[in-house]
Amino acid sequence: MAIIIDDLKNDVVELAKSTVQNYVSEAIIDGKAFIDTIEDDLLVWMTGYAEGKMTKEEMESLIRGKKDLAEMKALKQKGLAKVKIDQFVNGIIDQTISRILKV
Amino acid sequence: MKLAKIATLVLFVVGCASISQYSHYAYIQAVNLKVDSLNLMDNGVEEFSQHEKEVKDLTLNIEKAYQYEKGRPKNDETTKMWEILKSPDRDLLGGFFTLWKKQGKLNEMYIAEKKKQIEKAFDEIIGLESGKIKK
Repeated sequence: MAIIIDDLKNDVVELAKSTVQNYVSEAIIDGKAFIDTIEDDLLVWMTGYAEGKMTKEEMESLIRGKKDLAEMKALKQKGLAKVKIDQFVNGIIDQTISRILKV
Repeated sequence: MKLAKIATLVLFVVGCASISQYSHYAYIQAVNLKVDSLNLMDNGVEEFSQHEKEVKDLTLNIEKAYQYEKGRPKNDETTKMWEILKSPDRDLLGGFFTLWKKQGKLNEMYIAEKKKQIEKAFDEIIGLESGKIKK
């Protein structure tokens, strides 16, 4: 299992070099982080596939599903960051209104 | 004069909001569709043809939820999340139905593992909605 994970991380480096030349270091970090997040699940899925409990397509779907989930999580974080900005602006506005009313 | 200033500020706030406010309808809709989806996924061990109508009905309801989200102003993140979740060419709920149809039946282990992913996917949508500013 450890060998496979190392191989995957090496693949990430090569893939980054060949596909995103301008952002190689960032892509390598992101890619390795992704492999780290799926490491435990990957072991379970590979074992299941090896034991005939899953088809190849099913295992592939689970791996790709992790990527889709990561994208959704990033979108949620982006949305929540916007909420924080709005809360900040609203706080300033509330403070301004109460100052105006005091005048 | 004061009122005019306040009204201007309120309009400024509304105009400057960077993301839509909380919608209870959107929240409830996502929760209901999560339950319906996870429930239907359990049938993946059976022939797709036996459940084609249920899949179509759920897909239609998800499309309605997506169209509702798409129509809300400043709701790009939620809209994009629904797109990923429902796409038949990706690997969340839409992809699950695609593979079910293709294989006819799905393995129990795959269903159990994919259900974890779908649950998390819905939780991301629900989490963003519940984090939005309430009126």
